[in-house]
Amino acid sequence: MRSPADLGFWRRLGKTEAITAEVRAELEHHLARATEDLVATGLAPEVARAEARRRFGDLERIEHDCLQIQTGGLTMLHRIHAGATLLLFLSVLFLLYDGRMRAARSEALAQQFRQEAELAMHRAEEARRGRNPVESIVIRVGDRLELVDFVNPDLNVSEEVAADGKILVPDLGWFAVAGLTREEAEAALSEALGAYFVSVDVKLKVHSEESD
Amino acid sequence: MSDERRELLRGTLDLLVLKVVAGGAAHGYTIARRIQERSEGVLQVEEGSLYPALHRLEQRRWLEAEWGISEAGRRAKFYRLSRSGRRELAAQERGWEKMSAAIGRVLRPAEA
Repeated sequence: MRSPADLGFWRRLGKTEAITAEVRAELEHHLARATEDLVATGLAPEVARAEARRRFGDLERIEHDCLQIQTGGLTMLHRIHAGATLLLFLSVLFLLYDGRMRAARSEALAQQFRQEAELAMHRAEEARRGRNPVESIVIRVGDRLELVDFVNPDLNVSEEVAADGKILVPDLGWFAVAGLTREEAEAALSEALGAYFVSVDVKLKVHSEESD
Repeated sequence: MSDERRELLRGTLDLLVLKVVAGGAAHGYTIARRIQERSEGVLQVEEGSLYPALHRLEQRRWLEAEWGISEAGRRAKFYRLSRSGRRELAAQERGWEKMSAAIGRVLRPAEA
């Protein structure tokens, strides 16, 4: 491990346990050497150890003093203070980030509402002009069509579009309607029936699985 | 022990440690033994003073420390004098010589 003197504040804070272990190891080495010298004078190992320990003094205080010097006095209280400060800083960052995200989401929602409002206004305008796109249903095979002519009620029929896309219309016969919109089919039927009747007023109602 | 004497001794200990380490890298136990031997037993450094002094001098970067294996085969922390430590030692030696000369003139005015 690099000397604690070479470490910055935050790295020393993070390596306090390692620095503590090093200080203890250094002091323990001194005790071991002092014990060996006392043993060399004839003392029993246990007695030598106890004497070396006594001569050394307050081991815990010395260790604490050394640790204070190495860590710049970063006691537990300082660690708690530093931790609380860091937590507060992170909380502020989070609140700022969350606020920006909320603002971005609000802007996105506002944009969506504006687009939907514009679409609704466009649809209302189209309806006012008589071109309601919702009514532009394309007739398909299997749809049931109700043909109503208030001027010529004999023409009123209810027919299912056959597989060949046609319906059977009185006086006209089989008439192709599949693929036409309701409006297009009305116009085509009115033109065709106009050859047989003085006046026609054909209205077509489409019953399909999608619209029912 | 009064605060004034304790402050004087601590300043003196820094000088002694720097001087001993200038002779070669050493761990704390050897430094204490060298001070005692060179002072012919007059100066006995207390461990409670020595190790805080070593760590203080290391923090001031006057000493550089490195873990190694001692002569007894144990893992130990060795201190050596840094470049700034050599400059500090020279300055403290000059200061000590000036101080001791001044004290000497006070104690032996007839010889001054």
